[in-house]
Amino acid sequence: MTLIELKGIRKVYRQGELEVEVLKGIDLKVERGEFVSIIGPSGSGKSTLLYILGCLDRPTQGKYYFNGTDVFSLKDEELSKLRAKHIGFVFQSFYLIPYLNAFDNVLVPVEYLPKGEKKKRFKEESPEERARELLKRLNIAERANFKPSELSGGQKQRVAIARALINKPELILADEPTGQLDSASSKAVMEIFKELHREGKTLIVVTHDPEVASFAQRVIEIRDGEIRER
Amino acid sequence: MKFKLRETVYSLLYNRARSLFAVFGILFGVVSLVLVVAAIEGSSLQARKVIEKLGPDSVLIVSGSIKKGPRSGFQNLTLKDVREIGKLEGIFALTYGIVKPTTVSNVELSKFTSLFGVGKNWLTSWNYKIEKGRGFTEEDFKELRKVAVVGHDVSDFFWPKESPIGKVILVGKVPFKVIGVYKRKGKTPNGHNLDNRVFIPYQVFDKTVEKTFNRVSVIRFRVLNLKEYNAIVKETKKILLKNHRPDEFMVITPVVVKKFLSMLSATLALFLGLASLTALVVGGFVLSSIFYINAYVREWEVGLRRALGATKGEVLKAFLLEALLISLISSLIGIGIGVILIKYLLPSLKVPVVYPVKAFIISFLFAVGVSLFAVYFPAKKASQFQPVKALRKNL
Repeated sequence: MTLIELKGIRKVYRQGELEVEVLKGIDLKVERGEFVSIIGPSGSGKSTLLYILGCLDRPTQGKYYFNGTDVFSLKDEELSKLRAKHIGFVFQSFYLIPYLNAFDNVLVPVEYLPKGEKKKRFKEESPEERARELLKRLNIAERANFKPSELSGGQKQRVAIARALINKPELILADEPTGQLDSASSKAVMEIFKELHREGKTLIVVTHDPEVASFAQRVIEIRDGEIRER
Repeated sequence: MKFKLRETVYSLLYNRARSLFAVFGILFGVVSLVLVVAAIEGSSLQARKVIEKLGPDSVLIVSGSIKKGPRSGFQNLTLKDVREIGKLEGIFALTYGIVKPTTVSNVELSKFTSLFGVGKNWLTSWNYKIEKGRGFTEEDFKELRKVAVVGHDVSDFFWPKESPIGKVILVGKVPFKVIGVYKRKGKTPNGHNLDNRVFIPYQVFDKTVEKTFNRVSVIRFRVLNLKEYNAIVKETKKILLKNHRPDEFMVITPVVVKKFLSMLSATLALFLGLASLTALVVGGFVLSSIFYINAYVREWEVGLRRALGATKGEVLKAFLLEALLISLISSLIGIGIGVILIKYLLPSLKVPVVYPVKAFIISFLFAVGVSLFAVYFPAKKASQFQPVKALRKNL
């Protein structure tokens, strides 16, 4: 079943008089349960593509169907709720909120679920129970009460992954998730992604590191705003 | 909601310096508003008390003029005025008195007090209630008896452990027998001690203390039927104008008192109110700029929350919740400081101490209103941040 379908996505940035075409007509289909990595040098437009996939950025032209919904016909507010319900983000610089401990950071997305959706998704276990369980599964349960400043890079990224998973999204988007990690932590994070893939999650990881990309089942190369399947 | 509140509290604690400045910004406005409203309430209470003391049906005539204020030192009024006013119909409880600050003593001690030579109805007309002994009788006046009715502060000073009834006090060298003590009356709204007074019959005052030459300081009477009040005041003025120049006396009625006091409190309200509102508005500006800076510092956080599914409205609300919390904290502290200042500052300004709930509610509402209004604009700005731009800034 197709989860994501991009048709002729173009993205043009205007810098004064200059027009830069970052994405030059991208067509892409991602099936449910796929683990895809998008690889390319910096400036190739891979992050822009990821943000469009994450419904955070609108393309200049083209269509995006998420689960059959024409994403960019939605209003801003509906897009936000779509993100809350279906998409989990993992970032290069973790983006943990500095004044909340690990446990509360994991819980942040829950408050952005629509009320009815929250009830539905946390019928069997409370958000707090699920957060605790995720932290345990990611081997950082004993750091639940630590502030981000008291965590190592690898631990921070595991908290961020737990946060991406809390709302049980269909799609996990990761933007250079290992960019600030040493090789051991990088490997650990990618192993977690592999495990999530085995459980049936759809994952799209953007990276410039071929080794990281090789963890995925399908690798897409992006160069000068166009994609090449490997 | 519980989680949001927790988040907000942590955010305020994390950005301690910002929160502190923001609280201070609002605090001063709250304190001054509390004080101003309390002062206004206090002085209008004072006005009400004065009128209550005076009685709505009473007419008070004192020496002096509206322009120069009442003069107890000058005694322009005379017993002739009293007699002529006494002929008016529809009045009762007519009385008169003369005041002299004097030192009284017994054998060992002496005390500075206000000595009053008073007419027959004085004690009942001014509502002095006898607690021990008795008041003046017809015979006291007729036989010019040297008797005195004293206040508690006088009797407690001279005879702290014994009954003062039958004891003797000396006014100058003249002995007076204490026949009664009246119930405590406290202070006048202007701070005069009503319990440090000694009353003796007017005619005895004239014979033994000081020649009065028929002069009196105060004349007071009451009107039977309030409908005739204005007509009787007019008649009274006519009598007085026949005997005196217009600047030698003042006719004080509850209406005059009310006018004078409300004029005073209206100007007070206007100036102080404007000052404290200005303080609050300036506080609002402070809060607004603090939040503008804060919004930009936390731009990536806004981007993150938007990515996690927050709508613009939810970002806006989160900032407003912080503002609300700040204004709540400022109001609580401000009202606390206000209460302390009311207790210790207002008495020195001769405004009676009141803790008006109204002041607390008004300043609380203003603080919340100003804070929400001030933070709305930076919050709106923050909610408009482009998530992608915001997230890339921190890379």
